[in-house]
Formats: sequence, C-alpha cells, structure tokens
Amino acid sequence: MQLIVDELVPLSQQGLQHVFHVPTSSFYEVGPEGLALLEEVKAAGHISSGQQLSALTGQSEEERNELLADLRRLRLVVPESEQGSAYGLRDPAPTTEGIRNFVMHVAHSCNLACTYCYADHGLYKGRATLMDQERARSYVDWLFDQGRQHKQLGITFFGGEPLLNMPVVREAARYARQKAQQLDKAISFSMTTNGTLVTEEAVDFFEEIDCQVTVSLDAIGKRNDRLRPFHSGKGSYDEVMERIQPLLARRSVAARVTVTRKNLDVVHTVDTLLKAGFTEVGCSPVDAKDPAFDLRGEDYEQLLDGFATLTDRFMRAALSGRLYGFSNIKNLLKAIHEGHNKEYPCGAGLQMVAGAPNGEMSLCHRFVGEKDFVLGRVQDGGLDKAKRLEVLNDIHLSQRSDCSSCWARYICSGGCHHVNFLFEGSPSATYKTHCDYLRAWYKLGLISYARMVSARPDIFDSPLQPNDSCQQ
Amino acid sequence: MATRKIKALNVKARRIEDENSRDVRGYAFNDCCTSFAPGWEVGYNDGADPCPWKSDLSLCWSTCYWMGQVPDHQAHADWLDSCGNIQQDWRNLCTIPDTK
Ligand code: SF4
Ligand code: SF4
Repeated sequence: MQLIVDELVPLSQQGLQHVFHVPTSSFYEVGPEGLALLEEVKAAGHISSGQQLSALTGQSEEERNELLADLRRLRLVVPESEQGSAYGLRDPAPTTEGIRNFVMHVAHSCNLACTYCYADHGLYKGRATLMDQERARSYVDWLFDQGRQHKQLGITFFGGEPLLNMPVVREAARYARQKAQQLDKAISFSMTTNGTLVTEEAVDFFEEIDCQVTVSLDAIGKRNDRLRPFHSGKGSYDEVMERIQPLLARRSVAARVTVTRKNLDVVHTVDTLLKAGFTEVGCSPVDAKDPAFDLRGEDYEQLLDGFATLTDRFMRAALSGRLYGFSNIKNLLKAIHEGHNKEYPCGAGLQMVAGAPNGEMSLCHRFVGEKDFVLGRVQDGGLDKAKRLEVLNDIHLSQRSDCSSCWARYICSGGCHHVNFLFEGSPSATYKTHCDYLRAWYKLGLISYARMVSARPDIFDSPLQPNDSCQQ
Repeated sequence: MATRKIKALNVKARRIEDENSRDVRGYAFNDCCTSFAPGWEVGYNDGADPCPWKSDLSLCWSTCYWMGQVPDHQAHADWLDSCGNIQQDWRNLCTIPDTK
C-alpha cells in the first residue's frame, strides 16, 4: 500500500515539534523523530509500509516502524485514497434546523456619526426608523414558533443604536420571557450599544433580564473621538466612559473595537479598556470600502504585531490562572482546543438571522438593507425555505475555489460573508487582502496553544468562558 | 492507546487517538454513519461524482469498517490500490483482486 503524508502544517519554530492536521483540525506534538519522518516521507512523495527510513538513523528498525505505525494510526500518514478525509470529524452544519439566535434591529437610527460606519450611520440604506411594538412581538412569536426544537433561544438587540428605542426593547424582552416561561425554554439577551445613552435605569433593566452588553469603542480619548463623533462633531469618549460607569460596576461588559488605519494602536486601546473595567475586549478590522479606513499590507503587519503583544499578555496571565480579556485570542484558542473544523465561517443564516423594522429578515445584521440577502419577511410567515437554502448553498466552503488549497480553510471557512460581499461583490468570493493576515493570525494561535499546553498540559481543560459572538 | 512518541494535544486529536484504541471497530464512528453512510442518495459533491460509492468509501472505509459495504481490509489491505484517484479510477473499484 502506498502511504503519503496527509495535509499538515508543521511547526518547528521556537523549539516546537508540532503538526496541525488540516482535514480534521487535530493537533499533535510529534517530537523530533516524528517531524523528521514526516519530512522524509513528504520529500519522497510516498512510501510503502515497513519501508526503511533513513531519517531516523540511530533508531532501530523496530522503533522506526513503530513510529510510522503511530503516524498511520493518527492519520498523519495515510493511503493515497484517504487523503484529506475528515472521517466524520467535521463540525456538522445544521442547515435546516430552526434559527436559535435572532438579531432584532430595534432602531435604524443612531445618535453617533462614526466616520467609517458600514450601516450608513444606522440607516441601512433607508430612512431613520424605529421598530414598533407589534413588529417586535411578531418577531418574538416567529422565533419561538420556528425554534420549537431548541431548548435555548437568544435575542440580540441591535441598531443603529438600540437604546434609542428602549420602550420596544423592554416590551420585546418582557414578551419573550413570558413566552419562554409558557413554553419551558430558556431565553438569553444581548445588546451592542454605543454607550452614549446608558442610564442607571437601563442597567437595572440589564440586570433584570441578564443582558450581555457589548459597548463599541474604538480607541482612547481623542483618537476615539475622531472616529466616533456625535452628529455635531463633538467627541463621544468622555461622555460614554462617564455614562457606562454603573454598567461597568454592576455587570460584566465587553468592548468591541473596530480597527481602521487611524487606530492601529490596539495594545494601548485594549490595555486601557481592560483597566477601565471591561471584562473582555475584541478587535475587528473595519470593512468600510474606503481607503482612508480599510487596512492594507503594512497595516495588517502592525495589527498582527499588536495582537502578538496582547497574546503574550494573555498567555502570561493564563499561566498564572488569570484572564487577560483579549477576546480574539481567547476565542481562537478555544477553537483550536476543540479542533473546530467547519464549512461555514459563522452562524449567519444557519443559527441566526437579523430582522429589520420593516419585517425583512436578512442573512445577518450586516446584510440588513441588501435586497439580495433578504431571506423572508416576518409578516409573510418568516424565512423562505428555498431562498435560505439557496443562499446557504452559495456561501458553503465548497463554493470558494480560492480557499480549496488554503491550510486554514476549516478554521476560517472563507471569512466573513459581508466582508467578501462588500469588497468582492459576492459573499462566496474571497477577499484575498485579508488572507495572509488571517493565516498569520491562526498560526500565532497554534504556536501560542502549543506553548501554553507544554507549560501546563491541563490549561485548556477547565472552561475558558466562551464568547462566541460575531466579531464583525 | 497513547502513542509513545506522539502527544495528542487538542480534543480532536484525543478523539482520534481514542478511536484507534478500540480493538474492534463498531459500525458507528463518532457522528459518521450508523450502518450506511449518507451515500449516493443524498449526493456527495452535489451528486456530480461519477462513483456512487464515494461517500461511503471516503467517510466510512477504515473508520466505520462495515463489512457489508467494503471488503474486509484486514484480509484485503490493498483492495483500493488500483484506485488512487477515485474521480479517475473509479472503474477499477469494487473488486477484490482474484489473486487473493
Ligand atoms: S484565509 Fe483566505 S483562502 Fe484561507 S480559508 Fe480564509 S478566506 Fe479562504
Ligand atoms: S462574520 Fe460576517 S457574515 Fe458572519 S455574522 Fe458576522 S458579520 Fe455576518
């Protein structure tokens, strides 16, 4: 039988002797002999079982064969016919199941005028609108009705700025909790807000419904103000920080940083926000389609340098049993630990959809207002099954020819559909400008994982408190 | 069974290691088929693949090890050898060489 090396990412830098198996996302420390043997087989193209291997001089034939048998059993070395097989270890995609998480766009309007805003300052290509109570209730009815098989459902209040429509948020939450109780289900709530309208009463309400709040902030002080001004042009940083004090004091709160060319100093931003009391801070490159903001070559390098520094802080804290709340690395390490191996990058259309004030339901919150990605209307009974499947087929990893030879494809799964859509015209096209950065970032994750596990083998066995929300 | 020189680090790797430790492979492997793989009825590659067995083979052969579907590869370890690339060589499939 001819044996070949399956698709692997070998890691030999910084004293590592590790390989990542691409088809299954399994990760091994193979030792110097393992690396040498894999290299030799790779160079030879293929070998027959039991063949003499010269790489392992100093080892008995028995030892060599044993090592080869181990590699064979772990599928790092496989018969040609089994190359690339995931052996049923790929994450299943729940294509026809009910939606679990609903993003409710309660306000298409915003009191800030962020300079790079993808949502047209909260208007989403429409007029300023607030969702009315009937619409919110009909979305809740729909969510519970189609999500019968789920024990746990979720609603994310989104905008625009959701706190501009607090009465409807309150009513939707009250109604959803009542339904959950009647139907014996759990319901969870979250919200992304710009923080400008947070009050003590709002925090009381967040406590009452146990709402996970994320505040958007892009930098510290003046740098944030230039990106996140009020419509008057006045900066928002000081006001937001003052407003959210009761929130930070009473709840565990995440911050979300949109990284543009003008706020690449992520280390300072993340560090300062964590010191200010945020539990976690996540960063995501902007997709503005505006050269003044979108990152390019050298910017990605700077961003990665910053991420590497933050990762180092995360690792040091974790090894002494503390959490340094840099979400990006925490989420990546969790994915690596579990061996995520998926054919969709995120839950858009699968687990979650977004609903606009006018009743249109879209692939995700970012696609709201894009006619081609409306998957149904709540007043017409919800999602159009055929349309949903058509879009889901179109955005499946197998449709992305550019990704088919990329080693990161089952971790990245093609990247954010909206980024691809905005820059390349289609959610299933590949925004290649991102790819080198993504691969470098995933590699940093693998290296960090390997180093942490070798320092403390059980470090990932206790829960890392997942934060799986979309970072886009 | 733990290998001597190789350490399985993440959860996936440990799962693979554990599966291999079984002496007898049952006909269910993780989430894979219970008896027959999804197979040609539901299509693999949108049904474009010329070989209706492909799904069964690549998903199940040597993982599910279900004798009803594929030759016993303990006794016929090389039965797939003439079929390195299933897309091109599928006509060579399906036979255990006469010499055995
Ligand atoms: S890094 Fe790029 S090529 Fe690789 S899977 Fe992601 S989008 Fe595709
Ligand atoms: S990753 Fe992109 S496509 Fe997916 S939910 Fe987030 S914004 Fe939408």
